Amino acid sequence: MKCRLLICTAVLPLAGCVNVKPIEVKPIHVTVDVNVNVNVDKDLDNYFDDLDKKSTTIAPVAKPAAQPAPAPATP
Amino acid sequence: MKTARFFRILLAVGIAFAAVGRTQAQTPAGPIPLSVLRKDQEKRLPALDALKAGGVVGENNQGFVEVRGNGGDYAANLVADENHDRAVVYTLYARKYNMAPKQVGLRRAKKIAEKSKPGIWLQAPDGTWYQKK
Repeated sequence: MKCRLLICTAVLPLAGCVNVKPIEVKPIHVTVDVNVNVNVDKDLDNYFDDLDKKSTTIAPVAKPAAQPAPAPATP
Repeated sequence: MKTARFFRILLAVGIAFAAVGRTQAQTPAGPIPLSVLRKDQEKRLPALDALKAGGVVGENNQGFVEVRGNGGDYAANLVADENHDRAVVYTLYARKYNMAPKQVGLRRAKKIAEKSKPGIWLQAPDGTWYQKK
C-alpha cells in the first residue's frame, strides 16, 4: 500500500509537465520588415517621382490638403 | 615568436578582407550610376507612354512592362531596355536593404497600379490583366 502511494506521488507531478508547449512570439521580425518596406518605398519614390511626374500615363498622387490655419481668437 | 606568428595571421586576414571588399565593390550591378539610368529612362518615356496609352504595353505585377498587343520589334526592344534599367534599380535597392529584387519590384508594381491613369493595362496580383478605370 505504501509502495503504491509512493509511486502515485512520484508520478502525479510529472504528469502535469507532459503537455506544456512553448509559445513562440516573434514581434521583432514584423517591425523590421515594416521599417524596411517603408525605406524601400521612400527610395523608390525618390528615384521614380521625377519620371512619374513627366509621364502621361501616371497621375500624380494627390497629397492631403494642408490643414487650414485656425482662425485667430476674437476678443 | 608567438607574437610574430599572431601578427602574420592578422596580416593574412587583413589582406583577405581587403580582397573581398574590392571584389564586392566592383560587382554590384556594374558601374552605371543611377543618374545615367534615369536619363535613359527619361528619353524613353514618351515612346513608352505612347505604347502604354495605345494598349500595346502594360505594367505587370512584378514592376516591369510587358508587350501585350502587336508592337513588333520596336515595342519589344523598348520594353527590354526599360525592363533592364528597372531591374538594375530594383537590384541596387534590394542590396541596400538586404532583400530580394523581386520584392522591390512588387512594391513598385503596387505603386504603379495606384498611380496609373485610367485606360492603362495593368496586371493584378493574381495574374489577370485589366484596364484601369
